[in-house]
Amino acid sequence: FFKGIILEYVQGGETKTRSIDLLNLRPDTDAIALVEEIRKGEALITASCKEHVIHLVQRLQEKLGEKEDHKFHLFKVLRAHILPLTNVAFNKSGSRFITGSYDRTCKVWDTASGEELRTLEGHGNVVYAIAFNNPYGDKIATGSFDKTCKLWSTETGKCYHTFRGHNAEIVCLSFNLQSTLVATGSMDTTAKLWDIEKGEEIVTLSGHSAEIIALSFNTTGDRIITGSFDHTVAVWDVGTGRMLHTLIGHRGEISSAQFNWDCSLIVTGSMDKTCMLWNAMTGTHIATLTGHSDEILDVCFDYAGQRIATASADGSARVYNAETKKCIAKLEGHGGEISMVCFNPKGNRILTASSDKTARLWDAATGHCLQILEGHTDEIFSCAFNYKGDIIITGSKDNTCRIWH
Amino acid sequence: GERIKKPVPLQEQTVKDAKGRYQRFHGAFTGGFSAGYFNTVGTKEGWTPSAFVSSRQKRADRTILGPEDFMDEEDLSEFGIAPKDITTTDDFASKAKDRIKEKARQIAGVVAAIPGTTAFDDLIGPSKITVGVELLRKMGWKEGQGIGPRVKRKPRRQKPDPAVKVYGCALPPGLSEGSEDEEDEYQPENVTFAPKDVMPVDLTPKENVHGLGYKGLDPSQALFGVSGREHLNLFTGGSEDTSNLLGDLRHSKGRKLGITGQAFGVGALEEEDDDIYATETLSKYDTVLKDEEPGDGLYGWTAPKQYKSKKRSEREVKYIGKILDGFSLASKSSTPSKIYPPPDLPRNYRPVHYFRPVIAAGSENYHLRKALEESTGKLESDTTQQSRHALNASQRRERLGEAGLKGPTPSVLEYLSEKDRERLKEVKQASEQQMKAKMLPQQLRNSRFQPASPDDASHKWQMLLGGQLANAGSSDFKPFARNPEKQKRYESFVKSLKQGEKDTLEHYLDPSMTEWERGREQEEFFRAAMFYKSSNSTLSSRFTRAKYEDDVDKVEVPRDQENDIDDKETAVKMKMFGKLTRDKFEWHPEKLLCKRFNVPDPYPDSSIVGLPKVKRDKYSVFNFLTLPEPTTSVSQATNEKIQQNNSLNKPKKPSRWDVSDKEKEKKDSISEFISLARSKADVQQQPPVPATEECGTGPSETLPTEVANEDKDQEEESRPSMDLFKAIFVSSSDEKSSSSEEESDEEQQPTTSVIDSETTKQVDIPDSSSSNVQENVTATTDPGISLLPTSKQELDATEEFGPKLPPAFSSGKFCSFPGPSRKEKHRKNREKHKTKREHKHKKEKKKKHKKQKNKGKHKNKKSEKDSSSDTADSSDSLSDIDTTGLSPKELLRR
Repeated sequence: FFKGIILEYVQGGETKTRSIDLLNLRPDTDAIALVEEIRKGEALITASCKEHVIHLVQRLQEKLGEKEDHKFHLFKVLRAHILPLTNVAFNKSGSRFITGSYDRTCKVWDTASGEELRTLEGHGNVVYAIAFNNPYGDKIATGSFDKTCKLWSTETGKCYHTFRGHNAEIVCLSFNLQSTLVATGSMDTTAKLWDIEKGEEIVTLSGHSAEIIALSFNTTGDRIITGSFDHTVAVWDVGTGRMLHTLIGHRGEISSAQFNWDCSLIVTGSMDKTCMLWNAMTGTHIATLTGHSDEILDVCFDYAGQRIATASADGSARVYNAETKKCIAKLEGHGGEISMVCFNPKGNRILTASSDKTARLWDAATGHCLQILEGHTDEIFSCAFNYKGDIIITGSKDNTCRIWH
Repeated sequence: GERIKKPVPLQEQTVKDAKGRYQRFHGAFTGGFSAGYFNTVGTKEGWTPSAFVSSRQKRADRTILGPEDFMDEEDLSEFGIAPKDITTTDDFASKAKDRIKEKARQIAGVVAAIPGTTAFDDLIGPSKITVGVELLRKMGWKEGQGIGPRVKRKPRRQKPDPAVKVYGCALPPGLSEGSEDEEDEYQPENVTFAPKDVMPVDLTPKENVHGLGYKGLDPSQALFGVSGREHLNLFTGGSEDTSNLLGDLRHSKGRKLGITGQAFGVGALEEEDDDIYATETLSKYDTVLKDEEPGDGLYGWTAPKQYKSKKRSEREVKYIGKILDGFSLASKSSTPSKIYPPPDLPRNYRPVHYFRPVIAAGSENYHLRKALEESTGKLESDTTQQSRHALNASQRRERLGEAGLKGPTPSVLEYLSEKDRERLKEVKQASEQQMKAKMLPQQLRNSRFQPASPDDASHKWQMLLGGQLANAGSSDFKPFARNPEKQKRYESFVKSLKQGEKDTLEHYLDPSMTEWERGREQEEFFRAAMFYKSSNSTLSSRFTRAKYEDDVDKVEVPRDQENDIDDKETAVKMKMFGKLTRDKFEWHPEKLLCKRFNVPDPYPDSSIVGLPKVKRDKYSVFNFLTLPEPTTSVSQATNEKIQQNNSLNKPKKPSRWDVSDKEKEKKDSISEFISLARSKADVQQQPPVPATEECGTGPSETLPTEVANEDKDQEEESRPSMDLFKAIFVSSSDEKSSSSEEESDEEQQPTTSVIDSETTKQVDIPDSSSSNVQENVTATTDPGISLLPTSKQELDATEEFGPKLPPAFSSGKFCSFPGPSRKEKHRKNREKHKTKREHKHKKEKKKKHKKQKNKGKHKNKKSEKDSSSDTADSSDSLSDIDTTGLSPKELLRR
């Protein structure tokens, strides 16, 4: 969910686009003044199209200002896996989603109908990490405890490549936004970059002394960060595979690491109960977000990069302002550790999945619990919003996946 | 802004699962289960996916994986998410258990606080048959029966026969009578019945209107509390009165002091789960040490009053203590069994038992004993009179006045020549006396400060040491090194002792000394000599390598033993060379050896190499026949008295360190003995027996003994007959190269000779008591022999032994003899070495093979070549030193 405008223009016979991020856009921002400001820095917006731009901005504002009192209701319970689910993921449009499971398969589902479209079979062990190559969504990557990563076609279910080379379980993977690379992080303390087209290993990122548990590409795809159990996060240059920075400061295993959207910040969550913010460029420590009384299991930026949500084993989640580094809200109410937290694309909702068998929807600003998604009979391991933010899927240990509209 | 918490130590920051693995993973990673194999779902063997099977054909038996297939074992454990318990099914549970349980339940039902409830039976009930029941069953008891001897049925309503002796627990008369009443009339004469089982019946009447088991507040308890009266001992004071007076109060003893009871229910502040019936209160414990029980034996249980009082009136004075439920005091007190005090242990009794080989009783033993009696005087004969066990058959026969046995005497000695027998006897006597003398501490004490008899003593010593001193010789053992003069004296003394100059001993002592001092010094010398001897032998025996492994009862010993050495010797004496002087061993050569020498394998299908071994008891006497155990010969002494002393004095395995002490104790007895035995020794002056020891030790003194242990080991374990070796080796090409090997062999020779001398010693000082024949062997330790200087004659004599060559003997001998036989022996010796080497190589090869398995194929081939060439070398012309030097190198290289 990009807050911004993409300008499409023709220059010398070629169609080009220029995106203008409006991350600070608020419903009450003066649209005309904003556009005037944009015009100062952007020669493309000529007077002729100024009105059009203003209109766009206003529509954006409208959208932001929409009062969301949408209540989610259980749409479907999908009982297709015979063992607990590991992760769930939407494609960008939200028309499809995938579930990985301990039963060694990954399944592709139609969100609207709740039908199973494909079963991606072939892994010899738990399918743990799954991902669509968003924004395209035509490929699926699955990382398994069988030490391999497979690349599948969403449409046909055909396995394009099997990436072999890790010596231990693959626990995290990510496409770059350009969808040319897949990065996999493994228990063998290395991360590897794979070429999607050729199915070859491009580079091995070795340097950690313990398992890699999280990785994230930056938006431009030239940097990648890996979080490790060795208490450090490393910033790598994708092209050369060299380690650029090591973010040292945590006193416990890293559980999660993420870039913000404009890739200026890195947020890391650790078992040392703290969350840290780092300068992505220099690798310097910016702030430590404390407050949790137990291990932090997941952290995430909202899509605008303004807020940070942390999920902890103490059963609470917190929202921090990325600018001020202050805790905005405490999301308290879960009866068990929270294994996953995510913002809705708009950034005003937070979804948490907990081992207390519920998922909860929170207001990101106030920290109020808006809704409790009950129904799972066992721990919920993962949850996801669709792009529009009107569908939630949750994957649980009870072998089911639930769709909430 | 956050409150700073107490820092958690690092080691506590980690979470571990049931198997001690770190739990760093949460949520989906673990699947909600505790992670399986080091935080993975895999196993040690890895994840093995089930092979794909086309479901078209095999639709029916398609394996459907259940969740359990993916679970960890912990999840199936008792506290896991899907516990699967293994419990004993009824099939395997004891049948009898139920009956016992039932009975326990019955009793509990009667006695329990709330009759009929058996709530705790399942918890408390015996899970297995108790030892008591087991024992009873073994004694013939069956369930449902009473305990006691089988009885005849008594006529109805008759008083129990007083004549019938009741063992075990006498039944209360009333009870047994009552049960008898129900029996039918039929009473066969000669049929006995097991006594009826008795079920104790609790006859407490219910006097109140409360519910069963209810026990309200007892006001008396609350009032009196832990009054002193509660602890009144009923049996010391006027028991009857107090007991009546106190009445119920006694029940309160052992009860809680606080006000608790069912009436109060569970208090607001009390935990509901608390067992309110077992609340611990201070009043339960005595604060003063006193007699334990109130004496009613009921432990607070109710019991019929009259029953109680009756018991009490009867036993009162006699019995103080608790009487179990269902038991009553016997009306008749049994006569107190007389207690005999345990026998007084002799002061020198040692509570350690070891086996003394029993001397074979025979006529010659009798002589021996006679001699002993003579030597030890009255003491000896006294003891023989005392104990009939000490007599042997012939002695008993004599005493009984029976005629001697007509049949052939069982002794081997009978077949020996007269002369030999004579000699043997004397030898035996002498040696026996030696030992005996060591064992006489009483006399020891007497003579301790009697320097007046140095003469005597010296002879005793001499007798004693003579044999052994032969070994000691002019060694580097210098006990008086600090005092050179003394040392000098000592040395000359030893020399003289060795040469048997009895009277001249005194000359070597310092004439300026007082008589007492001289006596002392003499004794000192003797002791030193003795010490050297014993330490010499003990040390060598100490530090041999273990022949057998400690942890096995059976050991492998060569199946074919040598012929008796003494037989051989006698044969040699009679110039009967040939069959008698040769040994025949079955020897299985190694396959490779046969190949190398191009001879057919004599035992193509045998898996063993070398001498066939048989399993025998490790501690069989026979295994130790060849071990140096100088003290065991003492056991010849059948005399009880001596055995006693024996057990006290004699060090079983004298060590270097304790010898001197022991020696002190011994010395006088020894000197005593020597004086007695001297005359015999003098007379004996025996003809020379092959003095193997002497020649053996001669060179050994100056020669290095580094390799001794290892070689010795080998020596002992492989003693193939020389004939066989000859057959194998002599014909081979080896002959030529033997001369060239001579030098190297000579270098090695010394070591072997030392070894051999030791082994010969071992042979020579065997456990002489086990058989008569064996005693023959002891002849070599006889002092008489040692008196002989090494003469040319002897050399000849021993040279004649050459061909005989019982390995242990021969090698020891020849080393000191120059001359023609030497070369031959050298060769033999070398050959022996070779076999050893053969063994070694085999081992090495084995090792190699093992290694090879681990290594790649290339190395395999290479080392194969290596080993084969090695063996070839060794069997062909490589010298001893070369090969032995090679092996460690090789080992290192690998």
